[in-house]
Amino acid sequence: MESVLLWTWSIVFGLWLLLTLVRAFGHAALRTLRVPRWLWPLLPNWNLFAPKPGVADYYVMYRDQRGEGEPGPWLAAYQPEARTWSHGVWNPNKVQAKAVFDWVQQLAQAMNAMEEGGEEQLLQSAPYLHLLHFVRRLPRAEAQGQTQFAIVVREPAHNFEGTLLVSPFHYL
Amino acid sequence: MNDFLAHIDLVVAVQALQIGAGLVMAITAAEMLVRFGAYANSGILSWELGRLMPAIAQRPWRQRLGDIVYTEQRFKLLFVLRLLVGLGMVACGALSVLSSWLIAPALLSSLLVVYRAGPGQDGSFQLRILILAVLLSCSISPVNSLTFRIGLYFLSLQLILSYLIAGIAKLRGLTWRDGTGLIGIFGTVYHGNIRVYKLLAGRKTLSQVLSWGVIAFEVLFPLVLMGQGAWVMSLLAFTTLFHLATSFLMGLNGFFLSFVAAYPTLIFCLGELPWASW
Repeated sequence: MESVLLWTWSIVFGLWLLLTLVRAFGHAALRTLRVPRWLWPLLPNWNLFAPKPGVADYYVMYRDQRGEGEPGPWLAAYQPEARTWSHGVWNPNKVQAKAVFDWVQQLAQAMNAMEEGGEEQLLQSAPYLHLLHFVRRLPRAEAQGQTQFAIVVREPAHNFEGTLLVSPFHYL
Repeated sequence: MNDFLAHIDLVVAVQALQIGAGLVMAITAAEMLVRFGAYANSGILSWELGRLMPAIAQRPWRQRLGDIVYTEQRFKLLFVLRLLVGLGMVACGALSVLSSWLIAPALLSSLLVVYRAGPGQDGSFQLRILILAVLLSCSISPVNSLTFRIGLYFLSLQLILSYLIAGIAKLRGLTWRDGTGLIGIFGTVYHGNIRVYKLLAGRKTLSQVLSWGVIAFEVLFPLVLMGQGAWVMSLLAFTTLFHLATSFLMGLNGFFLSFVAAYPTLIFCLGELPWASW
Protein backbone atom coordinates (compact mmCIF):
# COMPACT_ATOMS: atom_id res chain seq x y z
CA MET A 1 0.00 0.00 0.00
CA GLU A 2 2.77 2.40 0.97
CA SER A 3 4.62 1.82 -2.30
CA VAL A 4 1.44 2.60 -4.26
CA LEU A 5 1.12 5.87 -2.34
CA LEU A 6 4.78 6.68 -2.93
CA TRP A 7 4.46 6.13 -6.67
CA THR A 8 1.23 8.10 -6.85
CA TRP A 9 2.60 11.14 -5.02
CA SER A 10 5.89 10.95 -6.93
CA ILE A 11 4.07 11.11 -10.25
CA VAL A 12 1.58 13.80 -9.13
CA PHE A 13 4.18 16.09 -7.56
CA GLY A 14 6.77 15.42 -10.28
CA LEU A 15 4.34 16.40 -13.05
CA TRP A 16 3.12 19.40 -11.04
CA LEU A 17 6.69 20.66 -10.71
CA LEU A 18 7.44 20.08 -14.38
CA LEU A 19 4.28 21.88 -15.52
CA THR A 20 5.04 24.79 -13.15
CA LEU A 21 8.31 25.23 -15.06
CA VAL A 22 6.44 25.11 -18.37
CA ARG A 23 3.93 27.67 -17.01
CA ALA A 24 6.80 30.09 -16.39
CA PHE A 25 7.12 30.39 -20.18
CA GLY A 26 3.51 31.55 -20.47
CA HIS A 27 0.22 30.17 -21.71
CA ALA A 28 1.67 29.69 -25.20
CA ALA A 29 3.98 27.00 -23.84
CA LEU A 30 1.04 25.21 -22.19
CA ARG A 31 -0.88 25.38 -25.46
CA THR A 32 2.08 24.03 -27.46
CA LEU A 33 2.46 21.08 -25.10
CA ARG A 34 -1.33 20.56 -25.13
CA VAL A 35 -1.60 20.69 -21.37
CA PRO A 36 -5.32 20.16 -20.60
CA ARG A 37 -7.09 23.46 -19.88
CA TRP A 38 -8.52 22.25 -16.58
CA LEU A 39 -4.99 21.92 -15.21
CA TRP A 40 -4.01 25.52 -15.95
CA PRO A 41 -5.57 27.12 -12.85
CA LEU A 42 -3.56 24.71 -10.67
CA LEU A 43 -0.21 25.77 -12.10
CA PRO A 44 1.25 28.60 -10.05
CA ASN A 45 2.23 31.70 -11.96
CA TRP A 46 5.39 32.80 -10.17
CA ASN A 47 6.02 35.78 -12.50
CA LEU A 48 4.66 38.02 -9.75
CA PHE A 49 4.59 41.70 -10.75
CA ALA A 50 6.97 40.91 -13.64
CA PRO A 51 8.28 41.48 -16.23
CA LYS A 52 5.95 44.53 -16.47
CA PRO A 53 4.61 45.56 -13.07
CA GLY A 54 1.13 47.05 -12.83
CA VAL A 55 1.65 50.80 -12.50
CA ALA A 56 -1.94 51.87 -13.25
CA ASP A 57 -5.12 52.29 -11.26
CA TYR A 58 -8.40 51.49 -12.96
CA TYR A 59 -11.65 53.30 -12.24
CA VAL A 60 -15.02 52.09 -13.47
CA MET A 61 -17.32 55.06 -14.12
CA TYR A 62 -20.92 55.04 -15.30
CA ARG A 63 -23.75 57.36 -16.23
CA ASP A 64 -27.44 56.78 -16.84
CA GLN A 65 -29.78 58.26 -19.36
CA ARG A 66 -33.53 58.41 -18.89
CA GLY A 67 -35.66 58.57 -22.04
CA GLU A 68 -34.41 61.01 -24.66
CA GLY A 69 -32.92 63.42 -22.11
CA GLU A 70 -29.28 64.30 -21.52
CA PRO A 71 -27.19 61.64 -19.77
CA GLY A 72 -26.62 62.21 -16.06
CA PRO A 73 -23.19 62.93 -14.55
CA TRP A 74 -20.41 60.34 -14.50
CA LEU A 75 -20.36 58.48 -11.19
CA ALA A 76 -17.82 56.03 -9.76
CA ALA A 77 -18.93 52.40 -9.83
CA TYR A 78 -15.54 51.25 -8.57
CA GLN A 79 -12.44 53.06 -7.39
CA PRO A 80 -9.46 51.53 -5.59
CA GLU A 81 -9.45 51.87 -1.83
CA ALA A 82 -6.71 54.02 -0.29
CA ARG A 83 -4.03 52.02 1.54
CA THR A 84 -4.14 51.76 5.31
CA TRP A 85 -1.73 49.93 7.62
CA SER A 86 -4.52 47.54 8.64
CA HIS A 87 -4.48 46.11 5.08
CA GLY A 88 -1.35 44.23 6.13
CA VAL A 89 -3.59 42.01 8.24
CA TRP A 90 -7.13 42.62 7.07
CA ASN A 91 -7.88 43.58 3.46
CA PRO A 92 -11.46 42.58 2.62
CA ASN A 93 -11.67 44.63 -0.55
CA LYS A 94 -8.87 42.79 -2.31
CA VAL A 95 -11.02 40.28 -4.23
CA GLN A 96 -13.20 43.00 -5.76
CA ALA A 97 -10.08 45.07 -6.54
CA LYS A 98 -8.26 42.10 -8.11
CA ALA A 99 -11.34 41.14 -10.11
CA VAL A 100 -11.67 44.66 -11.58
CA PHE A 101 -7.92 44.77 -12.24
CA ASP A 102 -7.91 41.37 -14.01
CA TRP A 103 -11.07 42.03 -16.06
CA VAL A 104 -9.73 45.41 -17.23
CA GLN A 105 -6.38 43.87 -18.15
CA GLN A 106 -8.17 41.15 -20.13
CA LEU A 107 -10.32 43.81 -21.79
CA ALA A 108 -7.22 45.80 -22.75
CA GLN A 109 -5.62 42.64 -24.21
CA ALA A 110 -8.80 41.90 -26.19
CA MET A 111 -8.82 45.49 -27.51
CA ASN A 112 -5.18 45.24 -28.56
CA ALA A 113 -5.84 41.98 -30.38
CA MET A 114 -9.06 43.29 -31.92
CA GLU A 115 -9.14 43.41 -35.70
CA GLU A 116 -10.98 46.07 -37.66
CA GLY A 117 -14.72 45.64 -37.27
CA GLY A 118 -14.26 43.42 -34.24
CA GLU A 119 -16.18 45.72 -31.88
CA GLU A 120 -19.16 43.39 -31.79
CA GLN A 121 -16.92 40.58 -30.60
CA LEU A 122 -15.49 42.82 -27.89
CA LEU A 123 -18.99 43.62 -26.63
CA GLN A 124 -19.59 39.87 -26.26
CA SER A 125 -16.32 39.16 -24.44
CA ALA A 126 -16.31 37.90 -20.85
CA PRO A 127 -14.51 40.94 -19.34
CA TYR A 128 -16.83 43.42 -21.08
CA LEU A 129 -19.97 41.52 -20.08
CA HIS A 130 -18.87 41.19 -16.46
CA LEU A 131 -18.07 44.90 -16.17
CA LEU A 132 -21.39 45.76 -17.83
CA HIS A 133 -23.28 43.38 -15.53
CA PHE A 134 -21.61 44.97 -12.50
CA VAL A 135 -22.60 48.49 -13.62
CA ARG A 136 -26.12 47.48 -14.62
CA ARG A 137 -26.80 45.89 -11.25
CA LEU A 138 -25.61 48.80 -9.12
CA PRO A 139 -28.30 49.99 -6.72
CA ARG A 140 -30.31 52.84 -8.24
CA ALA A 141 -33.35 54.78 -7.10
CA GLU A 142 -34.95 54.04 -10.46
CA ALA A 143 -33.76 51.23 -12.73
CA GLN A 144 -35.10 52.62 -15.98
CA GLY A 145 -33.50 53.91 -19.15
CA GLN A 146 -29.99 53.16 -20.31
CA THR A 147 -26.50 53.14 -18.89
CA GLN A 148 -22.97 53.32 -20.21
CA PHE A 149 -19.64 52.78 -18.50
CA ALA A 150 -16.09 53.95 -18.97
CA ILE A 151 -12.75 52.61 -17.80
CA VAL A 152 -10.47 55.40 -16.66
CA VAL A 153 -6.75 54.63 -16.33
CA ARG A 154 -4.49 56.62 -14.02
CA GLU A 155 -0.75 56.22 -13.72
CA PRO A 156 0.24 58.60 -10.93
CA ALA A 157 3.97 58.03 -11.41
CA HIS A 158 3.69 59.20 -15.03
CA ASN A 159 1.09 61.93 -14.43
CA PHE A 160 -1.06 60.10 -16.93
CA GLU A 161 -4.83 59.89 -17.03
CA GLY A 162 -6.75 58.46 -19.96
CA THR A 163 -9.82 56.53 -20.93
CA LEU A 164 -9.38 52.92 -22.00
CA LEU A 165 -12.94 52.43 -23.15
CA VAL A 166 -16.33 54.15 -23.23
CA SER A 167 -19.12 51.68 -23.81
CA PRO A 168 -22.21 52.36 -25.88
CA PHE A 169 -25.47 52.80 -23.95
CA HIS A 170 -27.14 49.58 -22.82
CA TYR A 171 -30.67 49.17 -21.51
CA LEU A 172 -30.94 48.68 -17.77
CA MET B 1 21.88 30.06 14.90
CA ASN B 2 22.82 26.51 13.96
CA ASP B 3 20.89 25.19 16.95
CA PHE B 4 17.82 27.04 15.75
CA LEU B 5 17.94 25.43 12.30
CA ALA B 6 18.62 22.00 13.78
CA HIS B 7 15.48 22.28 15.92
CA ILE B 8 13.24 22.50 12.85
CA ASP B 9 12.09 18.91 12.52
CA LEU B 10 9.30 17.19 10.63
CA VAL B 11 6.70 17.95 13.28
CA VAL B 12 7.51 21.67 13.41
CA ALA B 13 7.50 21.87 9.60
CA VAL B 14 4.05 20.30 9.23
CA GLN B 15 2.69 22.26 12.21
CA ALA B 16 3.81 25.54 10.64
CA LEU B 17 2.26 24.62 7.29
CA GLN B 18 -1.04 23.74 8.89
CA ILE B 19 -1.22 26.78 11.18
CA GLY B 20 -0.11 29.22 8.47
CA ALA B 21 -2.40 27.90 5.73
CA GLY B 22 -5.29 27.55 8.18
CA LEU B 23 -4.90 31.08 9.51
CA VAL B 24 -4.79 32.65 6.04
CA MET B 25 -7.77 30.55 4.97
CA ALA B 26 -9.77 31.72 7.99
CA ILE B 27 -8.80 35.39 7.47
CA THR B 28 -9.59 35.39 3.73
CA ALA B 29 -12.88 33.54 4.31
CA ALA B 30 -13.87 36.13 6.92
CA GLU B 31 -12.87 38.91 4.49
CA MET B 32 -15.11 37.35 1.83
CA LEU B 33 -18.04 37.06 4.20
CA VAL B 34 -17.70 40.70 5.25
CA ARG B 35 -17.48 41.90 1.62
CA PHE B 36 -19.34 39.24 -0.32
CA GLY B 37 -20.49 41.76 -2.95
CA ALA B 38 -18.01 40.65 -5.61
CA TYR B 39 -19.49 37.13 -5.67
CA ALA B 40 -23.14 38.21 -5.29
CA ASN B 41 -25.57 37.93 -8.22
CA SER B 42 -25.07 41.62 -8.84
CA GLY B 43 -21.30 41.42 -8.35
CA ILE B 44 -18.40 41.59 -10.73
CA LEU B 45 -17.79 37.84 -10.31
CA SER B 46 -21.47 36.92 -10.54
CA TRP B 47 -22.16 33.23 -11.18
CA GLU B 48 -25.50 34.25 -12.69
CA LEU B 49 -23.49 35.71 -15.59
CA GLY B 50 -20.40 33.50 -15.31
CA ARG B 51 -22.46 30.37 -16.01
CA LEU B 52 -23.48 31.81 -19.37
CA MET B 53 -19.91 32.30 -20.59
CA PRO B 54 -19.05 29.92 -23.50
CA ALA B 55 -16.34 28.06 -21.55
CA ILE B 56 -18.99 26.92 -19.07
CA ALA B 57 -22.23 27.10 -21.05
CA GLN B 58 -20.81 24.80 -23.76
CA ARG B 59 -20.29 22.09 -21.16
CA PRO B 60 -23.74 21.48 -19.60
CA TRP B 61 -22.31 19.13 -16.94
CA ARG B 62 -20.02 21.91 -15.73
CA GLN B 63 -22.89 24.37 -15.65
CA ARG B 64 -25.09 21.94 -13.70
CA LEU B 65 -22.27 21.15 -11.28
CA GLY B 66 -21.61 24.87 -10.81
CA ASP B 67 -25.28 25.55 -10.16
CA ILE B 68 -25.07 23.18 -7.19
CA VAL B 69 -22.21 25.01 -5.47
CA TYR B 70 -21.89 28.48 -6.93
CA THR B 71 -25.30 30.07 -6.34
CA GLU B 72 -24.95 33.12 -4.10
CA GLN B 73 -26.17 31.54 -0.87
CA ARG B 74 -24.30 28.25 -1.31
CA PHE B 75 -21.08 29.99 -2.19
CA LYS B 76 -21.44 32.10 0.92
CA LEU B 77 -21.95 28.89 2.87
CA LEU B 78 -18.74 27.54 1.34
CA PHE B 79 -16.86 30.50 2.84
CA VAL B 80 -18.45 29.83 6.25
CA LEU B 81 -17.13 26.27 5.90
CA ARG B 82 -13.70 27.60 4.91
CA LEU B 83 -13.65 29.86 7.95
CA LEU B 84 -14.43 26.94 10.26
CA VAL B 85 -11.99 24.57 8.54
CA GLY B 86 -9.28 27.23 8.65
CA LEU B 87 -9.76 27.73 12.39
CA GLY B 88 -9.83 23.94 12.82
CA MET B 89 -6.49 23.67 11.03
CA VAL B 90 -4.96 26.29 13.33
CA ALA B 91 -6.21 24.40 16.41
CA CYS B 92 -5.08 21.00 15.10
CA GLY B 93 -1.73 22.44 14.07
CA ALA B 94 -1.20 23.78 17.58
CA LEU B 95 -2.02 20.33 18.97
CA SER B 96 0.18 18.54 16.38
CA VAL B 97 -2.78 16.69 14.93
CA LEU B 98 -2.92 16.19 11.16
CA SER B 99 -6.22 14.85 9.89
CA SER B 100 -7.25 14.23 6.29
CA TRP B 101 -10.84 14.83 7.44
CA LEU B 102 -9.90 18.48 7.85
CA ILE B 103 -7.36 18.90 5.05
CA ALA B 104 -9.47 17.25 2.31
CA PRO B 105 -12.41 19.70 2.72
CA ALA B 106 -9.92 22.58 2.86
CA LEU B 107 -8.35 21.49 -0.44
CA LEU B 108 -11.68 20.67 -2.08
CA SER B 109 -13.19 24.04 -1.14
CA SER B 110 -10.07 25.80 -2.49
CA LEU B 111 -10.45 23.95 -5.79
CA LEU B 112 -14.11 24.99 -5.94
CA VAL B 113 -13.04 28.63 -5.54
CA VAL B 114 -10.36 28.25 -8.23
CA TYR B 115 -12.67 26.61 -10.76
CA ARG B 116 -15.43 29.21 -10.39
CA ALA B 117 -15.50 31.36 -13.50
CA GLY B 118 -13.49 34.55 -13.47
CA PRO B 119 -10.42 36.02 -11.82
CA GLY B 120 -9.97 37.37 -8.29
CA GLN B 121 -7.29 35.18 -6.67
CA ASP B 122 -3.64 36.06 -6.14
CA GLY B 123 -0.31 34.19 -6.08
CA SER B 124 -0.56 33.40 -2.39
CA PHE B 125 -3.76 31.43 -3.05
CA GLN B 126 -1.83 29.28 -5.53
CA LEU B 127 0.83 28.56 -2.92
CA ARG B 128 -1.84 27.59 -0.38
CA ILE B 129 -3.28 25.04 -2.83
CA LEU B 130 0.19 23.48 -3.07
CA ILE B 131 0.46 23.48 0.75
CA LEU B 132 -2.96 21.82 1.14
CA ALA B 133 -2.10 19.15 -1.45
CA VAL B 134 1.13 18.44 0.43
CA LEU B 135 -0.65 18.32 3.80
CA LEU B 136 -3.20 15.89 2.32
CA SER B 137 -0.40 13.64 1.09
CA CYS B 138 1.20 13.78 4.55
CA SER B 139 -2.09 13.10 6.33
CA ILE B 140 -2.60 9.76 4.56
CA SER B 141 1.02 8.59 4.68
CA PRO B 142 2.93 6.83 7.48
CA VAL B 143 4.73 9.48 9.56
CA ASN B 144 8.42 9.97 8.75
CA SER B 145 8.26 7.66 5.73
CA LEU B 146 9.53 8.75 2.32
CA THR B 147 5.88 8.91 1.23
CA PHE B 148 5.29 11.47 3.99
CA ARG B 149 8.35 13.52 3.12
CA ILE B 150 8.03 13.55 -0.67
CA GLY B 151 5.37 16.27 -0.58
CA LEU B 152 7.61 18.40 1.63
CA TYR B 153 10.46 18.08 -0.89
CA PHE B 154 8.03 19.11 -3.64
CA LEU B 155 6.90 22.16 -1.67
CA SER B 156 10.48 23.20 -0.98
CA LEU B 157 11.33 23.01 -4.67
CA GLN B 158 8.22 25.05 -5.52
CA LEU B 159 9.26 27.67 -2.97
CA ILE B 160 12.74 27.92 -4.49
CA LEU B 161 11.22 28.08 -7.98
CA SER B 162 8.78 30.81 -6.93
CA TYR B 163 11.64 33.18 -6.05
CA LEU B 164 13.86 32.15 -8.96
CA ILE B 165 11.13 32.52 -11.62
CA ALA B 166 9.98 35.85 -10.13
CA GLY B 167 13.59 37.10 -10.11
CA ILE B 168 14.31 36.07 -13.71
CA ALA B 169 11.01 37.63 -14.86
CA LYS B 170 11.97 40.91 -13.13
CA LEU B 171 15.42 40.77 -14.69
CA ARG B 172 13.70 40.69 -18.10
CA GLY B 173 11.66 43.81 -17.27
CA LEU B 174 13.21 47.14 -18.25
CA THR B 175 11.28 49.08 -15.59
CA TRP B 176 12.53 46.69 -12.90
CA ARG B 177 16.11 47.15 -14.02
CA ASP B 178 15.95 50.95 -14.08
CA GLY B 179 13.91 51.17 -10.87
CA THR B 180 10.97 53.08 -12.35
CA GLY B 181 8.68 50.05 -12.03
CA LEU B 182 8.95 50.18 -8.25
CA ILE B 183 8.07 53.89 -8.24
CA GLY B 184 5.15 53.12 -10.57
CA ILE B 185 3.78 50.38 -8.30
CA PHE B 186 4.00 52.50 -5.15
CA GLY B 187 2.38 55.40 -6.99
CA THR B 188 -0.85 53.45 -7.49
CA VAL B 189 -3.71 53.47 -5.03
CA TYR B 190 -4.37 49.75 -5.66
CA HIS B 191 -0.94 48.37 -4.68
CA GLY B 192 0.83 51.50 -3.61
CA ASN B 193 1.70 53.55 -0.60
CA ILE B 194 1.83 57.32 -0.83
CA ARG B 195 4.65 57.71 1.73
CA VAL B 196 6.91 55.21 -0.02
CA TYR B 197 6.00 56.73 -3.38
CA LYS B 198 7.02 60.21 -2.21
CA LEU B 199 10.24 58.81 -0.80
CA LEU B 200 11.19 56.99 -4.02
CA ALA B 201 9.86 59.41 -6.64
CA GLY B 202 12.54 61.97 -5.85
CA ARG B 203 15.29 59.39 -5.39
CA LYS B 204 15.57 57.29 -8.53
CA THR B 205 18.93 55.83 -7.49
CA LEU B 206 17.41 54.52 -4.25
CA SER B 207 14.55 52.98 -6.22
CA GLN B 208 17.01 51.32 -8.59
CA VAL B 209 19.06 49.96 -5.68
CA LEU B 210 15.92 48.55 -4.05
CA SER B 211 14.78 47.02 -7.36
CA TRP B 212 18.12 45.32 -7.87
CA GLY B 213 18.06 44.21 -4.24
CA VAL B 214 14.77 42.40 -4.82
CA ILE B 215 16.00 40.91 -8.12
CA ALA B 216 19.26 39.78 -6.50
CA PHE B 217 17.75 37.98 -3.51
CA GLU B 218 15.13 36.29 -5.72
CA VAL B 219 17.65 35.11 -8.32
CA LEU B 220 20.15 34.05 -5.64
CA PHE B 221 17.52 32.26 -3.51
CA PRO B 222 18.42 28.78 -4.93
CA LEU B 223 21.76 29.19 -3.10
CA VAL B 224 19.90 27.83 -0.07
CA LEU B 225 20.49 24.45 -1.74
CA MET B 226 24.14 24.77 -0.71
CA GLY B 227 22.84 23.97 2.76
CA GLN B 228 25.05 26.51 4.53
CA GLY B 229 23.39 27.67 7.77
CA ALA B 230 24.50 31.29 7.49
CA TRP B 231 23.26 31.62 3.90
CA VAL B 232 19.94 29.98 4.69
CA MET B 233 19.34 32.17 7.74
CA SER B 234 20.32 35.35 5.89
CA LEU B 235 18.14 34.68 2.86
CA LEU B 236 15.13 33.62 4.91
CA ALA B 237 15.48 36.63 7.20
CA PHE B 238 15.56 38.86 4.14
CA THR B 239 12.55 37.21 2.47
CA THR B 240 10.59 37.33 5.75
CA LEU B 241 11.15 41.08 5.96
CA PHE B 242 10.31 41.40 2.27
CA HIS B 243 6.94 39.65 2.67
CA LEU B 244 6.20 41.62 5.84
CA ALA B 245 6.89 44.85 3.97
CA THR B 246 4.72 43.89 0.97
CA SER B 247 1.89 42.97 3.37
CA PHE B 248 1.80 46.34 5.07
CA LEU B 249 2.97 48.59 2.22
CA MET B 250 1.03 46.93 -0.62
CA GLY B 251 -1.87 45.26 1.21
CA LEU B 252 -0.80 41.75 0.13
CA ASN B 253 -1.82 40.25 3.46
CA GLY B 254 -2.11 36.66 2.21
CA PHE B 255 1.51 36.42 1.06
CA PHE B 256 3.33 36.80 4.37
CA LEU B 257 1.79 33.88 6.27
CA SER B 258 1.54 31.64 3.20
CA PHE B 259 5.21 31.95 2.29
CA VAL B 260 6.69 32.16 5.77
CA ALA B 261 4.66 29.11 6.87
CA ALA B 262 6.57 27.08 4.28
CA TYR B 263 10.04 28.12 5.55
CA PRO B 264 10.29 25.45 8.29
CA THR B 265 9.53 22.85 5.59
CA LEU B 266 12.32 24.27 3.45
CA ILE B 267 14.74 24.27 6.41
CA PHE B 268 13.80 20.66 7.27
CA CYS B 269 14.30 19.50 3.67
CA LEU B 270 17.61 21.37 3.32
CA GLY B 271 18.74 19.68 6.53
CA GLU B 272 18.24 16.33 4.81
CA LEU B 273 20.83 17.21 2.17
CA PRO B 274 24.04 15.20 2.79
CA TRP B 275 26.16 18.37 2.50
CA ALA B 276 24.00 20.52 4.80
CA SER B 277 25.91 22.06 7.66
CA TRP B 278 24.25 23.63 10.64
